[in-house]
Amino acid sequence: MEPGNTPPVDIYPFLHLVPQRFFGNWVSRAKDVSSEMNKLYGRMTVHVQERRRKSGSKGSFMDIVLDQNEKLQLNQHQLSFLGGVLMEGGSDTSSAIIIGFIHAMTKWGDVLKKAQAEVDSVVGEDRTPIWSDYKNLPYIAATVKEAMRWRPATPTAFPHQAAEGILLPSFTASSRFIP
Amino acid sequence: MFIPKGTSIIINGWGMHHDKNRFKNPEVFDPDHFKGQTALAAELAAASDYNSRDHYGYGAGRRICPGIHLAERNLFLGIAKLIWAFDILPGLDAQGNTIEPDLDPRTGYCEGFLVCANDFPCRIKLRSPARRDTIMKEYEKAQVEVFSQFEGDI
Repeated sequence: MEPGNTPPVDIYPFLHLVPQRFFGNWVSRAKDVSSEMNKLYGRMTVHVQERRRKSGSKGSFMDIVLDQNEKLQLNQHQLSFLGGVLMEGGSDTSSAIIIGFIHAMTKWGDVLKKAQAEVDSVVGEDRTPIWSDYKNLPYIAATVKEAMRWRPATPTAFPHQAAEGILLPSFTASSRFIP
Repeated sequence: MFIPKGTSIIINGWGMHHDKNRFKNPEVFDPDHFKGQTALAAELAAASDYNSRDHYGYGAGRRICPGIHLAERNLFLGIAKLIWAFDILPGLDAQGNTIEPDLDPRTGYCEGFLVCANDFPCRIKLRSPARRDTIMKEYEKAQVEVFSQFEGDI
């Protein structure tokens, strides 16, 4: 899955009318991506299923889903995409934020020094920070929020659609909206 | 203003994140932009007053990122461990001079829906040999207790 290559028709449906060659052959590319996703996610799902046959449930997310699939009745394709999309949705997004943080640290070394002073006052050299340190590391907590603010991985998020007509009394026609 | 049913709505997260009225010097990476705001994103996203939200990195509304709880913990652990373990320094050119990082979102970052920094020069140095030993020790423990249960040829 390459969210960066989301076909433009997902955002502006009328672009369906424009030949695909004007948008990087998105129909062909989307079909290629679909085939890649089916192969990769399918293979990983089978891997989990075979592991379960050999050594039972290991308590992973997919194990928990499969443990109750008699009730859920998800087919093989649904299982593959439930696991696969979660895996992909949670990998390149977080990595883009961490890379952005490293990028920022090449410029603002004083922020890194301050964060290191904070972590050093709470965590020694004999262990790395863990989740229960969160409350004692407010500057690092703020650093994570700042990384997400400064260079958001999805600066326009996913487009939404109004399910109902909405009246926003506090907004007048302004440059905030592109009609 | 009336938004008719079926209207596509794009959240201008970038615009809100770089709004000078909300964040002083928005182009500067400064954690003090969030000074005193340590509540988790999932909690703040549910706040009734949008002004008390931290950021829109996870989107908004019913279709907000379903991985928000996992991601926030994941990012905290990843970033806190990097800070604990490494010094991060700008890259050097052949003469040993510091290369000024290209932080411009137009030239230093890729285009598209999912945005990431282009490759950039940097130097990452371990802070001490003791930290190296701790990393290796924790890695071996994770290998035995966690990864070994799930590994195999896929």
